[in-house]
Amino acid sequence: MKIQTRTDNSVLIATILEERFDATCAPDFIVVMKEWIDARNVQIILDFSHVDFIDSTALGVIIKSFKWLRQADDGNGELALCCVNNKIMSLLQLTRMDRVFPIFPNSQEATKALLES
Amino acid sequence: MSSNESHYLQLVIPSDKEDSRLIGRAVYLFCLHLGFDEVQSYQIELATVEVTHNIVGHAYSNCADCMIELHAQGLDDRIIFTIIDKGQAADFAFPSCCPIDPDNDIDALPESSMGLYIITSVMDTVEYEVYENSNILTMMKYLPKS
Repeated sequence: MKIQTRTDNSVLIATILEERFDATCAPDFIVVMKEWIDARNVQIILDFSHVDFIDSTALGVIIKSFKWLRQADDGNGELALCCVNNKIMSLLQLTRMDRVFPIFPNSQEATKALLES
Repeated sequence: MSSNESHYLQLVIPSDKEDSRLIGRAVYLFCLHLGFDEVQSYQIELATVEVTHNIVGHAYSNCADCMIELHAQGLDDRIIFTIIDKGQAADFAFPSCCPIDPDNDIDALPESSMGLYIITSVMDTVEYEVYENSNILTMMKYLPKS
């Protein structure tokens, strides 16, 4: 699974470079997420600007990551999403996860929110 | 699409989750062609992908040597899918409500088993039957009225 990462202060910004984030690549994603958290990255932004399709398996590993980060750093870890297109937003709304995940229009706003939290 | 036309799409793929991408891409383009918008076409694509994932994982127990058949028929006002496999018959109930309660404890959020809910939420009708050693899932979605 192709993911590009960069850091802004203490925030890890992970841009998923796959057009399809689905059951085929979700197992790879969760391994990488575990490595990030083990390396003490506890404020993470997932940038979906390259992603055009996600399925329930991908949504499941994002939920798992969200739970892991909420428990990391004595409960101070955070996961946010940004650059979510209308298709992916429709899935988040359908499953009501739009009310759970912090979602921002771009990585700058997401970073600002995490750094101020 | 002009009145009284009917369009067909038929695909047979190996029972592998990676190959369900082929069904997904074909269904997405077929839905756009029929007049669904991009978000609706994505959601219908998602429903068919979730069906094929369930077949791969449950009916065929992740055995990649089996086949999945998809027939799609586009009519004036609707699209009808028939998805057929010859694996183990499913024993499930379609959920009537969302498995995610955003007001509930974060730790209680489900990490799986959302596929059936997505399928029933996206499509207007979904029916499942077993006939002569085949599992047949039929689902239908009306085109939005213009």
